[in-house]
Amino acid sequence: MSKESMFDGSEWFETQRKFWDGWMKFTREGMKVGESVAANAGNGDETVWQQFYPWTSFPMQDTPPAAQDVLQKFLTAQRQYFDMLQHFSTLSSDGVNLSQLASDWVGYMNNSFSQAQDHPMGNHGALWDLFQDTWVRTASSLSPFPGDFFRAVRPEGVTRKPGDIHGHLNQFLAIPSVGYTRETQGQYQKMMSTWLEYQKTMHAYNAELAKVNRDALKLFQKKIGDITAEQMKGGGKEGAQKALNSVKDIYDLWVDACEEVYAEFAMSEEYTRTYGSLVNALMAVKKEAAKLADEVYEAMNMPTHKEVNTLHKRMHETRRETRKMKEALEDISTLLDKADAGKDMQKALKEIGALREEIKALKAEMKTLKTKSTPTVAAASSVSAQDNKGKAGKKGK
Amino acid sequence: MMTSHLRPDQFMDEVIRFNTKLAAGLKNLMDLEEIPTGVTDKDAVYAEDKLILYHFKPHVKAKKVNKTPLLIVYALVNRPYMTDLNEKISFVRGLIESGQEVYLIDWGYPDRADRFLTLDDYINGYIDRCVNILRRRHNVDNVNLLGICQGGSFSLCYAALHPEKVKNLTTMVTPVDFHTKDNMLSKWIQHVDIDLLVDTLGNIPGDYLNWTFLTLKPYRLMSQKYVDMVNILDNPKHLNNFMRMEKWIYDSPDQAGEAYRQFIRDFYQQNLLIKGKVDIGGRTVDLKNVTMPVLNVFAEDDHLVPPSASKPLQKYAGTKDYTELSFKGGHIGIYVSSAARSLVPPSVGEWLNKRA
Repeated sequence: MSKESMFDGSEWFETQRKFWDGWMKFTREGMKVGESVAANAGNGDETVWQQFYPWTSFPMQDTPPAAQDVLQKFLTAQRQYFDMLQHFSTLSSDGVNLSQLASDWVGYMNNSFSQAQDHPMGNHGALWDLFQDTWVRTASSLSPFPGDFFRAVRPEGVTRKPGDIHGHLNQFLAIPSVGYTRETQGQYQKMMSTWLEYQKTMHAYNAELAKVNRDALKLFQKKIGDITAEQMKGGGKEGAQKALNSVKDIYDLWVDACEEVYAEFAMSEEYTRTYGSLVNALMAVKKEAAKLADEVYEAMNMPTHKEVNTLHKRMHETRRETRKMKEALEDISTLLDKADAGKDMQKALKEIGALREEIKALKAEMKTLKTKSTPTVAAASSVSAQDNKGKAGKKGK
Repeated sequence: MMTSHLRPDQFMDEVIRFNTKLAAGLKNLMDLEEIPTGVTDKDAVYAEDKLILYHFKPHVKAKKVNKTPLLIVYALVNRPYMTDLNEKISFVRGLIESGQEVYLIDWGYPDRADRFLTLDDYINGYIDRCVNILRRRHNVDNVNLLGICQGGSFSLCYAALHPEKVKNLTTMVTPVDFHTKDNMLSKWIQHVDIDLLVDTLGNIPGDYLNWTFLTLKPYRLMSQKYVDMVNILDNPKHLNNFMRMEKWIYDSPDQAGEAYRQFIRDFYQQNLLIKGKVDIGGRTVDLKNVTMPVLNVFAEDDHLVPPSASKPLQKYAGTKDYTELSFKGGHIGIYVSSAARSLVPPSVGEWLNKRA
């Protein structure tokens, strides 16, 4: 589908029209469907609300590459916001007191978080998915498993009662391997053990985040209570600033509460240890998986990660040595240039000295010549005078 | 209107307004062209491995050009085009307008072949060679160095190891003391087995770093930001700026494993920089050797590098000419906000020109 057809009188706008028709019908009926919406909310199935909300089926593949990722994040975030709208729309058509609203929302969210804690990798609505989606993507890029692998783990599997299942599996994995394939068996067992450990730490991490979310809800409720009390007293500057006139205002207040609680908890020793354990546990899985992968590569006569690392390491060492040698050569070359320049200078000085000596000698010679030449000139004058006398004498004779 | 009640018709009205904005704005989103990475013309004057040294072409003629070139050393995390995101807020352009000859090191995207690059390779290798190129090009003994975030820590190390080649040093949102109470990143990394991480992964994936940065403020950065986005969808200019920023945030190169190991272990986990015990290529980094003039710029609301981590530079650096510039904003806002654009680059330029 081209951009033109999507936005200029196309079927997508037709979908929009149907959405508004449905929406108006929905509101006219006084939100009678509210209860069924609430009943379905948070279980990952399509809700009545979603039938009225067309953005969930937006034609992502037709968006330009630059916008695809951000559009995906945008729609996910909107889903959270609409979760809130959806929930509030089920409340009495007479309107709702803010305190009542907060209390109701807290109850709904607590229920959602409890489900999430029992099965953290499942779908529990967009609010819980905030952390899950991001971590799953990250873990996927760090681990040998695709992100969906973790999502596929069902409650009846590992995560519902981690203590029980881990105990049994650990016992099973502790059985010593024997026979010709002993080493390989051992490696697989170790791999499975690390994976179970990762599941445990992930569970602990989620439990802590669930606690953060619960505490955030309490704070949210308190904040609403404070604002309501302020307004009941007649407002005032602070009350006016915090007035809640829309679901977006309530959503922003909830985000503030979440960040406040999270920021405090994230600085605690308890959280930093859990965070460290989570990363370390995932790395342990990845490390064992890499070993197994290397065995397969080796069997197929392909280069292993270990070998490639060795090559890279040697290459860098060689480059450093080459560079050091190059720098040393440059230093030597500079020194030689300087030395050559020195030699040239000495030679020049020597030549200058020799020239000076030559000039000195020449000057001395000149002086000598001068000294000798002066009487010669006088004698010549005398000779000349005598010649004149002679001539005169001869003349007189 | 102030109320302690919310009525269903208010909800309906809000939803209708929201959807109308969404429908109008999505067309703008669909019409987005390729997002540029930097707006100021530049020449590549040197390249080595993945590194490219750029020289920015002046977009305006400055009244007086500083004869000492300015080299920007960006962090290995994320990409340096954040300093030149768009024409109006470009930090680079601000520096050029103040009369600086601006160069920038683009580290590129390290791959597995770069896994064994160390801090020595980065600081005494790449940075030093870039500095030497500038010295030759401009026929000067030393250059002005401006380090950003991790690049600031690298610049500090470089200035301590090669003080004769640095005329003036500017550090921006740079961690110096890594163990201050409000440093969330530092706290998180304390219990991570850094050797296991690097030995297992080789290079550290950008995705992992992104996840870490996002979870510093998860509800705002992963949720609220996108809900608020609906308000700018109908404004192509604002949407374009948002998308440039969004591209930059998720454009995270992998980190060369050995350099990452050393940076996390020595700086974040053991805080060796202020203890005078960081070893780079067999030489100890002593901040007392940072005797050239220092301008330390930090952001008051920085949640990645809190001011408490930057300000101790005054105590540990050996310089007698130390200046601080505080900006009311965050770690990123210091480069990409209009307020920062009108304050930070002109101030840096003026400070440099006075010491030309």
